[in-house]
This record gives sequence, C-alpha cells and structure tokens, in this order.
Amino acid sequence: MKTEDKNAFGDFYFALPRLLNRMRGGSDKISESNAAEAYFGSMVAFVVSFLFAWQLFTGRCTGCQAIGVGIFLLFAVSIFWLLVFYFNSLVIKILRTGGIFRKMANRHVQDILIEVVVAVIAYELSISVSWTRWLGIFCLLLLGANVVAALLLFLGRARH
Amino acid sequence: MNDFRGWWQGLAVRGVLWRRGLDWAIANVPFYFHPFLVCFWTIFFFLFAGPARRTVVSNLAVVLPGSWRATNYFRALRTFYNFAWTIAEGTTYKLNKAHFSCELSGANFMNDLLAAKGAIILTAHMGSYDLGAALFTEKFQRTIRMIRAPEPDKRSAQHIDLALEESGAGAVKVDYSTEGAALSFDLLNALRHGEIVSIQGDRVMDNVASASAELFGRKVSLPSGPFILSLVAPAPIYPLFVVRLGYRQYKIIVLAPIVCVRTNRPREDDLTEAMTLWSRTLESVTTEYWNQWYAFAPIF
Repeated sequence: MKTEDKNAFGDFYFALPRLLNRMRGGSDKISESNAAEAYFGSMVAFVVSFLFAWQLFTGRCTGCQAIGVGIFLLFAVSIFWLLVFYFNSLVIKILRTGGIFRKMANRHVQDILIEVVVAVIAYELSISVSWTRWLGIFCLLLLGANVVAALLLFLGRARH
Repeated sequence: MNDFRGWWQGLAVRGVLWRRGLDWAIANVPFYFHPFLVCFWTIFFFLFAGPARRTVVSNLAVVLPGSWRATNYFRALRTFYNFAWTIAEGTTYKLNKAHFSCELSGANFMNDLLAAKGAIILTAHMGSYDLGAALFTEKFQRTIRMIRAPEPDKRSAQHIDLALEESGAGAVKVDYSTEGAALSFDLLNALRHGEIVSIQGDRVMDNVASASAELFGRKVSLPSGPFILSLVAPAPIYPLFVVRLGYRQYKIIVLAPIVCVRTNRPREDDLTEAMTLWSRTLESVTTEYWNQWYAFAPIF
C-alpha cells in the first residue's frame, strides 16, 4: 500500500546517490520521499545563489551596509527563485508546444532547468577570487557527478 | 469591478489564490525545493497574518503556562512552519500521489473503531486532519462523513471540498457544521446505518450548538453536537488526531473512547461529564503537540 511503502523512504531521487545505492546492492528506484535530499537540495541551491548575489552586491559595502544588504538579499534571492520557477513554467509550455518533454511531469522538467540555473551560478562562483570559489567548484563537481551517474544508470538499464 | 473584488478577496489570508498557488507549486516545483518554499511562505504569513499570529501566541500562553511571550513568538513561528508543511504535504498527496509513512498509536482502539457499527471521530484543528482523513480511508477502507467549519471564502471552500474528494478518492464526504438541524438528523441517520462521522471539537462557529467547558483552567465554549449525537444514536466517541512526525511521516493517534451514556441524572450532567473527558483529552494532546495545534481563531 502506498502509505506503508517503507522502501520508498530508503530510496533516492538524485542519480548519484541512486548509483551508489545500486553499487551497494540496493535499489536505484526514483523516490521523492528522502528528507535528507529535500533539505540538502534546497540548501545548496539557496546558499549558492545567495553567495553569488552577496559577491555581486556587497563588493563596495562597509560592515553595517553589508549586513543590511545581506538581509535584503535573503528576500531578494527568495523572490528570484519564485520568478525562476514561473519563468521555467513558461519555457516548459513553449517546449511542449514544440513537442519536447511532452511525457515528463512539469516538476521533472523544472528539475532539469533548475539544475542548469544552479550550474551557471556555481560556475560564476567558481571563477571568482574569494573563498566562495571552492563552494562553486564543489557544487559543479556534484552536478557533474550527478550527470555522469545518470548516464551510467541509463546505460546500465539499457544493457539489461 | 466584481472581478477585481474577487481577485482582491482571493488574496486574503484564507483566500483561494494562495491555495491555487500551492497547487501550482506542488505540481511545478521539484520536491527538493519544497523546504525552501515552506520556509519562505512561513515567514511571509507569520509577518502578514497578524490576527492568526497573535491568536497562536495567546493560545500558547495558556497551553504552556509560565512561558515567556517572546519565546512564544518563536513557538508560533514553529506552529506556522508545521502548518505550512502540513498543507504542502496534503497537496503533494493529492496531486502527486506521493508515498507517505503512517504509523498508528492505539491500535486496539482503532480496531474497535473500525468494528463499531456507527462511531464518532472527535478531532481538533491539529496536525493534518484533511490528509489524515484521506490516509484513514485509504489505509482502513472505510468511508467518512467529515464535518468541517465553513471557510470564510466560498471559492476556498469549493477548493478544499474538491481537494478532499480527490485525496479521499470519494471516500470522504464533507458537510458543514452550519447546516443546522437538517444535518443533525442526517448525521444521526448515518450513525445508525453504521457510518463513521468525523467532527472537529475544539472550536465553535456561529450557529453551532455549544456548551461551556473548562480547558486549561479557562472557561471555553466547545461544540456539544458530537456529544448529543453520541447520546441519542447511541455511538461511542473516539478521540483521534493525525500528527506530523517529519518529512512525509505521520502518526494517527487513537485514544480511549468516550462513551456518552444516558443515566438517571439530568441530560446536561451526562453531557458535561463527556465534555469534561474530551477537554482533558484535548489538554493532554495539545500540551504534547502544541506546535501542531492550528487554532488560528480565538478560543480562550
């Protein structure tokens, strides 16, 4: 029964943990029920975009000004993501009229577009000169590893 | 002009636009962005839903005596946060048919409830009563008559009715507590035909039969309808609460039934005794799960 499916809580959504789980003899089934992934995904996307905006707008600010701008950016970055979701939904509509992604649920297409947005922001962070570049590089590595894992899972499934 | 007024009303805290927005977000945003959205909208409503925030803070002062007002603001924020998760996950269940883990506390009482030929589930504005009804019907294959307080916004009410119908796959029938005497007879009939009727017993709305009771040492008005029904039908009352344990994890708590029996005493005394038992139950559950008691309208 749907509500009793305990297995769904041990499964993952992102390709990298699914591949690792499969290598350990577990399942590579897609699940959206993993709390750790949900919180981790939100945190990474928000932190990366916040740090990028912080670098962009607080370059010439003094201590107190920077704190004020930081608080404002917390809200501004949130609004930015709401706008991204809306803009992406329009892009999905256009793609659908062109016959692309017709069989995928909206949230899964959004997932692809969001990962592109996060990758672009992470790249911008990675070429900066401050310590935040390491976070950008780490995020790019994670995204890259996830894409490779998705490919390996796909190839593995195709072989079977 | 009417269009603009309708749109403006939809933006009220309990307006339909927020619910439609939530539906849109759940259908369009990947699940790993839900924690971010829940945090954002929690802060938004905590800042802008002033009356609800003040009510939760004043309720907390009663539920947790001796607590500091400043601390209660943080507790109220936590209550809003839980509420946001609750309605978001209810919508996730409805639209995405997602997996939910559901554990049961009070299995023996639940077995009695399922075996009963006609029973009343008495619950509160706690945890996820809408998702709870859907989980209950799915897990135990029983239909429920759910009595709700009416939504102030008509379009919100329609939206919620439809949502309950979709989540419960037709096994949840919604009635409104303001429908008066006709509903009372209808419910009595349903109980005598062995149906389960679910009523929220922690808040009194206009035109609803009520009686005075003591909650946390304060005189409050609680709905007397469930107890009158129980006495007349006769049918046992099962206190049942659905609380959120974590991400997509819920717990159904069923407590010992309140049996409302007609004795030689005046009828009011029989009702008072049953209502006192319910008040004690409500006190113990709200003390434990104060952060999931969504009493956004004044009670005390």
